[in-house]
Amino acid sequence: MNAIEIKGLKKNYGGFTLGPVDLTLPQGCIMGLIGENGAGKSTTIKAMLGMISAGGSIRLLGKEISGDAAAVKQEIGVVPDEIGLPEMLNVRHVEKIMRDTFTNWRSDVFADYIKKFDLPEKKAFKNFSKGMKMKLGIAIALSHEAKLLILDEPTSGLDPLVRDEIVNILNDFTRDESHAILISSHIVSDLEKICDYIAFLHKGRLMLCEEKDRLLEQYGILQTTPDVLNDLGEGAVLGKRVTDYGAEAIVDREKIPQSFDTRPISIEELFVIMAKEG
Amino acid sequence: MKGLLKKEWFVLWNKPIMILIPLILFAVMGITSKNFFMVMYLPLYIGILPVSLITTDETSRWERFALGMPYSRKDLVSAKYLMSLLLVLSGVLLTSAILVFVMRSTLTVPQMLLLIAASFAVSLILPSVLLPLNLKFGTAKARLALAVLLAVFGCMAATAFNAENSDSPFNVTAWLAKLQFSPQILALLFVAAAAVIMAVSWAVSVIIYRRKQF
Repeated sequence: MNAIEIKGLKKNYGGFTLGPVDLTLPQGCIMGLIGENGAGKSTTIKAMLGMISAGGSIRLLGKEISGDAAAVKQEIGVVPDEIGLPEMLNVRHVEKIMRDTFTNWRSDVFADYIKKFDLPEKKAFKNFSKGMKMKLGIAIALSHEAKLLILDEPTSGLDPLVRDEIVNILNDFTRDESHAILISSHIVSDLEKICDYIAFLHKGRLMLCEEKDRLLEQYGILQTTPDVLNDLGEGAVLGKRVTDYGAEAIVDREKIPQSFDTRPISIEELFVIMAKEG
Repeated sequence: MKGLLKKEWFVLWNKPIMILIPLILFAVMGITSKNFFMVMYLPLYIGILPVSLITTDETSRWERFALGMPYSRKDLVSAKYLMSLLLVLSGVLLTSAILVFVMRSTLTVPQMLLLIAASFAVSLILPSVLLPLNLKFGTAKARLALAVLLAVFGCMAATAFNAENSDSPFNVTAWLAKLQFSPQILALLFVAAAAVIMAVSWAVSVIIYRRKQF
């Protein structure tokens, strides 16, 4: 069973159109949804969670999403970009609320995360730092035996140490093969560390959705002369930068002669060039 | 639902002094001045507190966060109404206790019954009007909508007042006199009308909220 199946997702906001978006995330995998600010990442996630009405079909954990999809959310941990807890609440209040929200709530697991994240139990939420707020959101999402985690920009605005900590926790979560994660971010380096699948969104359009290793295998950077690049066949060059000293291009390794020496590409380089060319 | 009610309660009880001081003040002033209208204000005051919590929800972006959990839009709306109802009932109990134990010498039993029923009815009607307005327009715009609504009610009340002692069809007093209800029936009618208004208000709020995009 796939954790996420999206077909033909469309949403029109007047000045902005999302889609059509088709995504499939198998269980046991992590998918990174990459895109610049305003690319449609949050809109995609909101549509998945029934927060906005949109066209197309969405299945989460095998269940068709329609309306609020409240029942299926028992098995989903959602971490939005802003943890929307009222500022006067503290960790103890949150625990009591969540205990009566999720049928599989695990107070012991939550307590472990609170300890691990070093979060104060009696301090009001308004006095939490951004990193602490995000950690509390993640602790909630991980304490009710969720099978699917959906995180919207969880590492945005956090320092590298906290980001690294969060990335490690997410990695641990997918050790169980029935678990899956969809994580959106414009900080591509974070996603590159943990994701099995990468989806690029640019100006509301899904540019690609592919296994990360396949992308890294398929594409490379070729340093050569502009003339050589011009001689390459159609579709071989995804994007290029020409200077007085030569040319650097992102190429499809399958479409260039094997004798050409290419260096590995990063997901960030690939996204930037595809967005520019797209 | 229990989780949502707990959240409402924790947010409400964050500053208990803000709730308790007006309650104590109105109760004491009502008792000492033997003014039962002040005592009747108690459920009205605490009944509209959940409406004020909508502002907290807006600033914290709670609604979006809650919709990421196993709650439907209907649950979120119902929690507000249920909280209002529970608070009104507690307020009515308090009012009833004061009327029965402290002010019984100044009122007959039918009068007390009528006052309690009127207090309960008015206390239910106010959040029933305010909740859909706030959910539809947001707390800032709802104030404007409420002002317009109050102006309309004001005009209606003025029309009814001017029509008193006349043959006008807007003469409410004449209508009530013709009906000749006993205080008990009138009390029952108040409560029933308020319950119907609240039920209709809840249904309207659910429809409004289902159309909302987060």
